[in-house]
Amino acid sequence: MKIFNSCRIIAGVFTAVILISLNACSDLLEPEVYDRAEASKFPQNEKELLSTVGATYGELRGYYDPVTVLNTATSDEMVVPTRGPDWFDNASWQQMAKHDWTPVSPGAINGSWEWAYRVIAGSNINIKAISASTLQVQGKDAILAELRLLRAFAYYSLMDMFGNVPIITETSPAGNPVQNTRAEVYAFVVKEITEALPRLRDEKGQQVYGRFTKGAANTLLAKVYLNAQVYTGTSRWQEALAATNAVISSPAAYSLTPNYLDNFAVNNGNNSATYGENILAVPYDKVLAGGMNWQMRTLHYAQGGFYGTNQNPWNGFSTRAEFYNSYSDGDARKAGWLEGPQKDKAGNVIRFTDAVDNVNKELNFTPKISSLEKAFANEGVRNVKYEVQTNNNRFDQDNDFALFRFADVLLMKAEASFRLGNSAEALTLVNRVRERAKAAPLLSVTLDVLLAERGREFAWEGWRRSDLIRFGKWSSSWEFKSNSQPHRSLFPVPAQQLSNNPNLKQNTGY
Amino acid sequence: MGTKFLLSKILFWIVLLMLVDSAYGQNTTISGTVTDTKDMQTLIGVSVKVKGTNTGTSTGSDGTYRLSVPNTATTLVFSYLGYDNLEVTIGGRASINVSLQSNNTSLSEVVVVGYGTQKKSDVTGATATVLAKDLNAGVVNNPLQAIQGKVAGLNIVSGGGDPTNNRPTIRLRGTSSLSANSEPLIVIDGVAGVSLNSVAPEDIEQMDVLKDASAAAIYGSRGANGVIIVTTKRGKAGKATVELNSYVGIEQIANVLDFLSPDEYVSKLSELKLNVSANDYGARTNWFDEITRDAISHNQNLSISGGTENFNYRGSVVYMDQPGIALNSGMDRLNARLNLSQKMFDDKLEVQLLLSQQQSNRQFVDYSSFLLAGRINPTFPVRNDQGSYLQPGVAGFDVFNGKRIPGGFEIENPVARMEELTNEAKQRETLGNLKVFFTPVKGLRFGLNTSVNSFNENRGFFRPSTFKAGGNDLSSASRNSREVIDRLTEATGQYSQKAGKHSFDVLAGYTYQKLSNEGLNASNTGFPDVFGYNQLSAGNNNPDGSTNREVGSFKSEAILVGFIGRLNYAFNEKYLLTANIRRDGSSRFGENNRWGWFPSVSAGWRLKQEKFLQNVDFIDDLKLRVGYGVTGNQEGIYDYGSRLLYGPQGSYFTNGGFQTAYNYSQNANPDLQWETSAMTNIGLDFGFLKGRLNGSLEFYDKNTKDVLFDYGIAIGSTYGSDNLTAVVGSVLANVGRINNKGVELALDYLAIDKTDFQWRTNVNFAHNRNEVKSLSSGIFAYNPASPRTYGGYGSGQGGIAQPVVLQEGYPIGQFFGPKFLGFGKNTDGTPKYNWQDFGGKGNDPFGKDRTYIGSAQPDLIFAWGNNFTFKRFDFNFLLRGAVGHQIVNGPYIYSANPNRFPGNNALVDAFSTGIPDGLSPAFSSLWVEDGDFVRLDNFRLAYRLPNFVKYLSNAQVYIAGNNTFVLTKYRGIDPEPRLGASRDIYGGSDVGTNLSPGIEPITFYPRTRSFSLGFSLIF
Repeated sequence: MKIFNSCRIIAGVFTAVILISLNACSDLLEPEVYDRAEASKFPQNEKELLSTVGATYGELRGYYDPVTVLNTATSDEMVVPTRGPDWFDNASWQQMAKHDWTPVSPGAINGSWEWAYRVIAGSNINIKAISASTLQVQGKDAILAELRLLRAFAYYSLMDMFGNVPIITETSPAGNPVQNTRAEVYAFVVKEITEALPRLRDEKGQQVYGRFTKGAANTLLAKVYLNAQVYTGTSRWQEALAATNAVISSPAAYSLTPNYLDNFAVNNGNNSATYGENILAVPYDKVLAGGMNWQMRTLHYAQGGFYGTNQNPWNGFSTRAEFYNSYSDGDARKAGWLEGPQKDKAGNVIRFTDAVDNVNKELNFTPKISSLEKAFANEGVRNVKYEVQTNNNRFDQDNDFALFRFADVLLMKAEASFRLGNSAEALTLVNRVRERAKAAPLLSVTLDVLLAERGREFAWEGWRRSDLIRFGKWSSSWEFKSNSQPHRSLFPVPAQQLSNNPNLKQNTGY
Repeated sequence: MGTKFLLSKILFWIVLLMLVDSAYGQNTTISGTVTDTKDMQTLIGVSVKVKGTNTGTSTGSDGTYRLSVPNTATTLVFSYLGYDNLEVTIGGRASINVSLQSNNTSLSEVVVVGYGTQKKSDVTGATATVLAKDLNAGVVNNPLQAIQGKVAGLNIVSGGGDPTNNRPTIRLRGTSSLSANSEPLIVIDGVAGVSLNSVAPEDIEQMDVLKDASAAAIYGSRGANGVIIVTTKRGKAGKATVELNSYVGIEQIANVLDFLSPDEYVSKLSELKLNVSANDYGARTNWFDEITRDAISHNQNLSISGGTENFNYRGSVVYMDQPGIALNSGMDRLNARLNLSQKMFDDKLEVQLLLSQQQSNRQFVDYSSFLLAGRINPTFPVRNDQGSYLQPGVAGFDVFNGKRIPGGFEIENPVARMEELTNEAKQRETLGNLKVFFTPVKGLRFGLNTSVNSFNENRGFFRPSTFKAGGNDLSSASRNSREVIDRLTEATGQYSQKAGKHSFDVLAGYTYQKLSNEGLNASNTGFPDVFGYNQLSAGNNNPDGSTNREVGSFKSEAILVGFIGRLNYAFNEKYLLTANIRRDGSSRFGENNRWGWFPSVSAGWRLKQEKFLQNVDFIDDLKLRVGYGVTGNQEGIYDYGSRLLYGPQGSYFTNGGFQTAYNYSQNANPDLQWETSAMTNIGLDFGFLKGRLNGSLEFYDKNTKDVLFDYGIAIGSTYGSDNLTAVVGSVLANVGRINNKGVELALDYLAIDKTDFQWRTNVNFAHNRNEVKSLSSGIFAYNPASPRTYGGYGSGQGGIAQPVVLQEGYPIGQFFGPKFLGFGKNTDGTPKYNWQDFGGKGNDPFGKDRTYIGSAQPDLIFAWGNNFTFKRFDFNFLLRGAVGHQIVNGPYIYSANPNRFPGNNALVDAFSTGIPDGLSPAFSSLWVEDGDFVRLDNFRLAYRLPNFVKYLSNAQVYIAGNNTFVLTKYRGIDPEPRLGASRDIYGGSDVGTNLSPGIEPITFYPRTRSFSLGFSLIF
């Protein structure tokens, strides 16, 4: 009987322990969330709500690298040769130069895809949240319209680079998205821009700096229409012309900045003279909004002292001789390039020992690059149109990235006019852009002339690839590249995306 | 519902017990009780025989016997497995009580299972115990190193010789997770999840490894990778003991790759008809020698212990100073521990207080220095003409003997990187543990176990302005401080009873654990170098007035709650049954899946107790065990990982200035839960040859489902039941299934047992087969046609694409790449690799032309330990090895390429690879090598001195060695494949590398070889 008694005791105790514990369960597992804001508690006011839109706008800083870099380094305007131990990077730069990329490499292909979908994700989240929010938001309609433009810009980039991509909006159902055709993406982009356009602000200045205005939306629309033949097989020159006219006639009164290089200068965003030309800029700050570091990629190691950079630059990005030689002397845009002997602070030509041939030599940037695989450290002309910030303790600089420029609108109008048969109008417009660059006026234009002018005006701004494709030159051979296979006018769907989404089909040829 | 089930189960056994009749026994002339000398517990089944006859009996379940003996009988012989035989003269007595002395074989071992102990003979799960005397010898700075090779199926791999990174990676029975930690749960004196650094190897009494799910299920959602239980030493009743242990050791780099020496470099220049004068800068520098040293470490331990029947104590202090073989690296650590135990009220109440503190100072170095040492020109000097560290290519600092030293932005002086940068941490960890046991009546015991573990870490980093690599001239510093508080409260009730042939033991309990992790960091630049990292506010602003000051802070919290129940039942000491159940809840998981059940059941059959085996003399013991259990894994998941949260994300421009932007900080997953492993284990324990040959054989099959996987998801896509938008490219989700099955054999044989000479030898073997069964479930569909790859490293020349693939039907750590056929030429005459065509015509080495070219998973891991005792000498050694795995020879891909020469130094082997001029390195089957190896892991030769001082009870001196040699054909640095990373809240590295084991990295801290000389004195 003693056993029985003990059993009763333990049974009672166990029951008690278990019952006490179970009652406490539901509350026991709720820890405090300390260093994040739970979605149920954020955003609580208009400012917080707008800060989430800010995150989507902030994604534009991720555009220049990889998207601009990929579109530039695969074109004739840039080459990144391997220099001894540096800039091999798993052959990725050589692949870009030779049009020899794969779904795996270079990583900038997947990076570009992911950049665009981060913008899309942010826009969709914001559109959903703002539409559902009970908070009073000033200019709510305009903000929703801006978000649709941000998203349209991302889809435009995807359409341009990859062609067939899934369209995901704020109302898409859960699950792996279905791939759309390039034509479907085109139709979606056009529809989004035209629907949202009327609700955008039509002004320039600090209040709308870095934001999608009507001017920016029409610039994007012009780009979409200008390339319509590539995207859909049907040209839309008339629509492109109309879109550029809408920018030109805008009450914002866009104009060319008198001095070409001012558009790219350090702290260009503080110079109101650039507001007329930089229709859409991506604001950078070397401390608060980093990422602008062209100078590190292009300057030679030994130039750190001259510019007072804290770290030696990396000596990578260069251009091809043919591209550089297309500038005439006296062209203000040529001043954005570094060619010839480079000097130190004392005014002496810099000397360095080249790790490629171990020869001590003067730092003389030559247009000629002897080899893609084994270039000497001084070879290739460098681009510093984005002014190098001197005595800067950081990698990053304070130049804002000029995404859409009025000069582009003018040259797009010139091209649309020319293709519609109005070559006189085209000539006037081209010469207007050349005049600002202090280049001699042309007497006539052809498609080749238009392409070359776009090349000089927009060097390393990221438009060269789609220009070459539109003008039918992308597959031609140029230095370090033989004729490209036809399918190279689209990038492959990145392998990682194929892994993520079994609904995706690889682009033809890859 | 679940608790009702538990309750009814308990009641069922209680009722069953009450039905049992305890009548038992027979009439005799001699009777008595047999107990264990150690704990005075009664022993059941002890054979009692009249010497020289077959007359005999055995003790019953209460440890008593009755035996009628003939009048001629003079002596009784008591024998019991695991105990020394005892002969007792009858001398006319009618009552003879004896105590048997355990002979320390495994059968008398007490196995520490979760929330209690069991005799080895009663255990039904797969467990292994390592006692203090069997721990590995030599320079051992953490408890895991001390049991490396001791337990079949427990694979412990150190990341290298860095004393500050004393967290080897542990795998017990293979890898069963993708993105979570795959390491066993660590339990120290009943406190789960504590860092192993808080225990010095000298303070360990024993370590128990719970291998199968039936043993580990008591730890529920944390038991899926097994459990390692550390029990620290306690004082014993009797004479006070003072113990002094001391050693001094010397560590050296174990294996250096054969790079061209300075002279070979120069002669290679002329041999290849290269410009000697342009490449020979006149110095002769062996860079590996310059960045390493012979490191002298020492370790001192003093402990006092003792006690009375009611009170015991043990206090211990261990100081270890272990400089690293790399310059400016190392660790010293002070461990202090005090274990107290007091019994009161006729032993009804026992209070234990266990206090420990660990304080350590760590100096870290940047592993990239070892890569740089293999790249930099060996004719460069360490210092330039001005006497500063040479930095290739930096204007003003790069002149040696008037000659300018060239450089790009990748090569820098490895000595400067080690010597000039300061990166150090102080850690302090204090664990206070109070245990109270209350035994109101015999057999019933209530326990309360509470602990607070407080961990602090302060880190400082400083880069002086004199560190010129890359053209730097700006001083920079940062501080990080962090605190982890781990609070544990557990209440248990346990009832054990023997009734006739039945004995049972029930346990129920509740456990609550709350972990918080918080800290701050700050950094600044531009102050005078004299401040180091100690005066951040002195930093100058940038020339334009902007500041580089940065601050940050974080805090998170997690809660784990569990209800536990266990039943042990034995019938007639022959049939054993153990059932566990645990219900766990964790705040880390999604709101839809916070709670889970973890049941297990196992049974044992002690065949030796059966009649048909009792007279089979050569079998001393035979026990068959079968178990099945379900356990979970949730380690390594960020505290708020399942939640939809906003966090700061950069800034945005508005109204002329920048403001902080906010976005979702992760892809939330409200369905997130633990991964679940179901393991079946069949084991056989045996003892032959009068206890001289013991061993166990285990078969297991572990199926893990709902594997925690950082599943790739298309950014922007909508997922899950809440229609969330993916903001990043992966979401932690429960996806897929993994199987591990294997066999383990452990044998221990006392081969020679003479008075003056003993040889004990033991071997263990483990074979595990790992297979990823599925990588899809529900909305997460893996695309096997475009599998994910992992583990690439390095940009620049020689970096490699990701060589490890994650694919259904293959193990984790499957190498995937092009198959090398030879070298060829393109149509334009340039050289190329010839790859085998697997669909890309041999032109798509990163895509279609990849195939399966090796695996990081060994077929067999094994260890062979030996212990010889000859008079006063004691010698032991342990050989350890693995076969059947491959290694991606990273250093060879990188440096065995003649094209790197002379801009980089190259391996001597580079010039026999046949790689033609102008061909860049690429990962392929060429660099996948067999990694079979045998290592002399450690040895120790000790001499026991005569007691030269009156009070001395034991004195010995010894020499020991670690990692003395490795036999292998592998050409890289070390053939033991890296398994991945080890990570918990106290530190560690990125568990992402768990998916890319078997790659020998190019940035590393070399493994070391050490020899030590020590003594121990016991008073």
